[in-house]
Amino acid sequence: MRNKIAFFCLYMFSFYSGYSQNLSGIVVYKVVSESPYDNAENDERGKKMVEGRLASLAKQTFLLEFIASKSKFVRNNSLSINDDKGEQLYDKMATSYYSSSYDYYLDNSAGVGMFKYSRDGTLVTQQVTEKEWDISTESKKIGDYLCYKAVYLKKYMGRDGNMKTLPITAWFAPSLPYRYGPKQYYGLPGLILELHELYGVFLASEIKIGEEKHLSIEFPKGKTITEEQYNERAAAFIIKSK
Amino acid sequence: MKKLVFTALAVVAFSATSFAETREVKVDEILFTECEDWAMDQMALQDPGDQLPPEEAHDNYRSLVENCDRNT
Repeated sequence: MRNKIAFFCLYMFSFYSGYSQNLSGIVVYKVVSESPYDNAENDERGKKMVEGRLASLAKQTFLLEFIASKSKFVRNNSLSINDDKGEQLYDKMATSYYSSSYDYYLDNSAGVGMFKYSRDGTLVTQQVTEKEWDISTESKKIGDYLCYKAVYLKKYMGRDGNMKTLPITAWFAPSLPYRYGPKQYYGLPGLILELHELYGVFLASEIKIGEEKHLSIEFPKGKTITEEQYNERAAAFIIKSK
Repeated sequence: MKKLVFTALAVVAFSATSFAETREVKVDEILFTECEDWAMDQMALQDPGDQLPPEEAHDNYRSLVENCDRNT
């Protein structure tokens, strides 16, 4: 009970300070694999593919920027990929398998989010809804920050067209009372410093708070489609087992 | 190992027999190249629960095929 009251107080504090007009922050995330299938028995070509994919993943970083009630989460160094076609393919495999093929934008005060598919620039608008995080008292230190574990059950369409439920585990730091995190994961009473998704783990490697006075977050301009239209389009890529 | 089929893929052969409004449509059996077959096996190996979302799975599959084609 005491823990619940403490988290409620933290939540209210983070709600206030997380949306403060003067707030700004930048977090750099790297991504590591936690796929149990990287070491599956495979042929030589498959082993080489996994090695290349992991090497490419090690070079990727992502950037979370936030001011007041807006945030964006984008690939940090995609321009550093050279012209080598083989390397580009490994990078593509690493983003689609472990990390992120999308840029995400959030405007909490307007209740609107947007994501941009990096392959073709498709812009998708979505309504912002509060995620139902299950916050536990399990804790660990990440760097100098005491973090608590929270789990969110994500429901989405899998590649076979069936709905899946995936537990997303986040470790957030109440001492950094900002309600943001990687991709579309936000709403916790503290900044997310570690996030476990399907086959990848996002790890905060650099945090700057309140130092970026010039930060400005604008949604990309262009023709947009709704999330429903996007899901209809995605359904065209369903892969069914025989 | 289980095989996968892209439902989005359909090999449809159109054969226009004349310019006079008659058109015959044939649906042929889907044939996979050696690399496409290998990529499908890799998808089953790397994502056995079909958990990748469709767009990511498609990206991954196409990259696997291209990667295989380049190295064959």
